Amino acid sequence: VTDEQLLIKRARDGDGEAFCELVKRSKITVYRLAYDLTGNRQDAEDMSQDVFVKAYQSIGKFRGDSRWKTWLYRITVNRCMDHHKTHKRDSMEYDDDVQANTRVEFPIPRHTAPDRSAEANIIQNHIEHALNRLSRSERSVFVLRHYHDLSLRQIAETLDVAEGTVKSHLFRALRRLQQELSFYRKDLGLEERS
Amino acid sequence: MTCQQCRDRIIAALYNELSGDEKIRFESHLGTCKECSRMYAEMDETLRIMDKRERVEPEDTSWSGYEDRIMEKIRERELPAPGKEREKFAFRGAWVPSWAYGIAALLLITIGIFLGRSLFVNQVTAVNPEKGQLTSSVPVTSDTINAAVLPYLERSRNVLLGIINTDETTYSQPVFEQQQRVSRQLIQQGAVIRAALKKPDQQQVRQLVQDLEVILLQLANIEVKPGVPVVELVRKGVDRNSILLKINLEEMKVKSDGTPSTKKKTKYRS
Repeated sequence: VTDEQLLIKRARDGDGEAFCELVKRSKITVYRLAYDLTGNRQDAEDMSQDVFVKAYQSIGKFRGDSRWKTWLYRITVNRCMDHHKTHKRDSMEYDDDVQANTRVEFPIPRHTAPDRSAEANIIQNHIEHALNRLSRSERSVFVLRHYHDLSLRQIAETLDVAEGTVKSHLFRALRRLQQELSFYRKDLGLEERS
Repeated sequence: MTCQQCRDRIIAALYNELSGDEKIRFESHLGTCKECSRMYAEMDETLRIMDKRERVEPEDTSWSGYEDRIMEKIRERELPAPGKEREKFAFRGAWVPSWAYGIAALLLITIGIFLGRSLFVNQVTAVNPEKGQLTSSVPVTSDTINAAVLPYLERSRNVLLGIINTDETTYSQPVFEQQQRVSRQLIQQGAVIRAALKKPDQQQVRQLVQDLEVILLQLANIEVKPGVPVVELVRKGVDRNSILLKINLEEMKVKSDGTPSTKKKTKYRS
């Protein structure tokens, strides 16, 4: 029995301190996933808090069949999906046929940091923009694989879908990112490099 | 390996998830197929670009007191401690399928309607026509019931509009609880009014009161907790029965028959 399993057991029995310790250990992971899914720091901060409130509420149902981290990932993805549904005004979701060949205006830079060079900020904005063009499912699968290092099988378990579905979402995500970033690669002369 | 088989494995290959044997066959195919090889190289390049992404981390101060804020949120929402909740619902084992809870909820609502109709109709003796409220001093007549219909409809409409015109994310739990209390009062009044509407030409308004009763009962029984789309649930019930339209039509009809008029119409934000 690991230390984490003991904490989970205590938290399930109503031990608030044990739950706080679990929060302490997982908060950065949850924040980062929320940020990767939303691309917005404020939303990610709010959402990560909601995730832990939801976890507290449901921890009685957590049977330990999956890992604590995987369980939190699932709650976070679901929370982000709900958030997206209620805040569609921020959405730039991709519409396959209509927008496939349409170039949208480059968004006003939001992901700027004063300590980065102008070129680095451009790259960051373009990457975020490309991510924003993915559907929610594609983005979820992509960030879990690429930025959180979950295997395809783990993603399937986390999202409760077939592994084949994960692969097809990821394939489509990569094709779309490639399409978005080919513009960027041309602009920054990266095509000659590859 | 065919091109299709190669493309089916391209994601696993990019993330180094192919087994040894598959990896050899995959690489062998890439060596002979320019198209697949190009696709693989482009996707790989895309991933390298995505590697350049940097997250914006929260300010250090954001983490200060973070756990306390979570616990404060939990207290605000009055969530029971996990252990206590499990004792309270100890029967909720894995063997109970989720649909069983839905059926149980439906049964409870049906029993509630049945009890409401049986009990309140017999207990209440009269209606105050000015306020549409129940009193014990005035005998029930068709006139007093008719006079109570308009205030009852207006009050019901105000409660429903108050909820469905609220944004799901910003509605206030205390206000909603107040609306649930008013709904319970209206359920009682509706039962009396409906029981007194016996004439054939009152069938339409009786049906409307009955439809309202079901929605108000559902509203009164909604358990407010995070994740429950309260506004959406009420809105669906209202939309499904076109309740607001029926209320407006009934008001017009009652007014044209010479009964006292209501004060105002309220817009329904769809």
